Amino acid sequence: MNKLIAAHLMRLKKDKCFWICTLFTIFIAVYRNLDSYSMSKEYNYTCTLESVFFPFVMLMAMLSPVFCSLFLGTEFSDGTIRNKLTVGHDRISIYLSDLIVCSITNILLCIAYIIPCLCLGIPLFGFFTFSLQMILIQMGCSLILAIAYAALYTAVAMLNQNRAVTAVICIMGMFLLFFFGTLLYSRLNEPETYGSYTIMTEAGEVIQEEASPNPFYVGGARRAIYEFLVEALPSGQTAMLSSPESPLYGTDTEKPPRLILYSSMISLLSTGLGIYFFRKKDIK
Amino acid sequence: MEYVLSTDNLCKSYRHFKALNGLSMHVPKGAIYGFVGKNGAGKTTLIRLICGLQAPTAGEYTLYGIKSTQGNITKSRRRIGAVVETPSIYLNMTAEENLKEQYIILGLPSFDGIPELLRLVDLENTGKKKAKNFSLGMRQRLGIAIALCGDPDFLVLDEPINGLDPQGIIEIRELILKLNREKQITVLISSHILDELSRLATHYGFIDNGRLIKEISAKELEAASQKCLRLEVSDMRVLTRVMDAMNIEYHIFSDTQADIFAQITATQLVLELAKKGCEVISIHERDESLESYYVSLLGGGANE
Repeated sequence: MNKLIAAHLMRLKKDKCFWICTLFTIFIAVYRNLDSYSMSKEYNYTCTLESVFFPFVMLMAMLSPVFCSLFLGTEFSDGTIRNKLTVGHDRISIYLSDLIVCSITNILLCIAYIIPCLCLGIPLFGFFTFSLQMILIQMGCSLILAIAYAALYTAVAMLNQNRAVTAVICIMGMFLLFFFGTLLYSRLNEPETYGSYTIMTEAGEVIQEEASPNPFYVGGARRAIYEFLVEALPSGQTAMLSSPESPLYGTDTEKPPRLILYSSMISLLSTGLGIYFFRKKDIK
Repeated sequence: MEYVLSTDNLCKSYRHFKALNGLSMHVPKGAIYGFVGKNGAGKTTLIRLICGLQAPTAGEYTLYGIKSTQGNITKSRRRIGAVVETPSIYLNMTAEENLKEQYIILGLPSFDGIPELLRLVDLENTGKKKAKNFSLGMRQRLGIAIALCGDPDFLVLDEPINGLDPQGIIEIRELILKLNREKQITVLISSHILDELSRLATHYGFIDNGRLIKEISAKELEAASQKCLRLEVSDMRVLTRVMDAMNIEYHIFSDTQADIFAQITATQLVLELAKKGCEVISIHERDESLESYYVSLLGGGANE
């Protein structure tokens, strides 16, 4: 398998898609830092390093399906996967080497955001306001999530021999996952009640509005299901981990291990199923 | 005889369609084995199976003494180089980069053999030109060069001359002959271009509807083949009467043309026809032994 990984890494060095994704990530990191800084100065509010730092997860999650589908799809569209099988590499090694290279790329994309963000962000916004331990835990969760994304898209790419179809499935899948993930996450963030407020009419009359229940608030068993889905779905985790108000900053110490467990389960399940079907697949 | 590849009742089905139906064949060591059959006969399916791209539904094959059912079949596959259908090359890489990639896949310690391989397939001057800008012949040669990485003992080529121009066909033919003669590489070459195959092959296997109809060496084929004379005459009815009277086998394929399968003196035939008022416009000796053998074996049009 080392030979296959080495061959992939050599191809990665020359892969246009990889370099475009990396440069795009660096550009977004620089732009977001400068934009947040200028906005905070213009509107006179305090911007923290956390708020510009953690969206790297979101960016990686968006670029991952594009890269994985095109990079692995080339193996089928150019027919080069045949060269590996013909010379005696077994299918499990081929699958795992593809997964490892996609995971490495996802992590490299995260690093491509993190390094320029820290280089610019620390001088502009100062160091993290939260404890370094929490920051490292959140980064650890993000990197394991990056592997889960790689596992999902590798499974799709290895079970489809048409590169265009793979790209469409991966990108559409990403949008679908994000739609549900952010929807669930935003519903969970709904306040239980609208707070009381006082307004003054044009006639000078003061009206006191009492606190009222929020109809969009999700409670009870439904809330537990929503919370599970947000934590279990990669897109839900992405929304959670890239948010500056991430619950991980709070006191729930059980959450990070749960996120790591869910990401690991997604990786294992998709890789297990992927290998099972890939071994049976007729390759043209 | 030592066989590089032998298959035993090999079957492959795609849902309800049987692409291979109990195929048994034997490729001798050092041979150029021409695998002949019409489109859809099962040639590419067999090649996919022996290259490990697909698994047989039933039956087994033996590659360098190791059966396909044994776990270490991948070891014997390391002795194979193959070009299946289209050349398997990265289109956005140069010829040299493609070879380097394959060298790494094989785990070869250095790239020293690459210039020689490029020279062998006449691609040494392609420089930084990407494979996507190569002609079909160049891609085919690059595909063969990749298949030759790691010095395989057995080269499997699936329709290597399809779509090539005459110069490309000559180049591929000379390359295959060179590899077989100079490096003693056994070659399995599938094709339905019989004329071209007859210039290369030392052995033939004829496949139809997923079954091997006949295996024969080129020498045996030559001995078995019927030589024929192609005649163009003014009156076909007279010709048929004369042929029947002389008890000669013939095949009519137009109002004026027929093939005669017999060793006959031209003068005797022309005089017989002239007596009955039939003019002989032209006579050619035909040397399409493989084609005629193939037609007689598979029943020509009736088999389509």
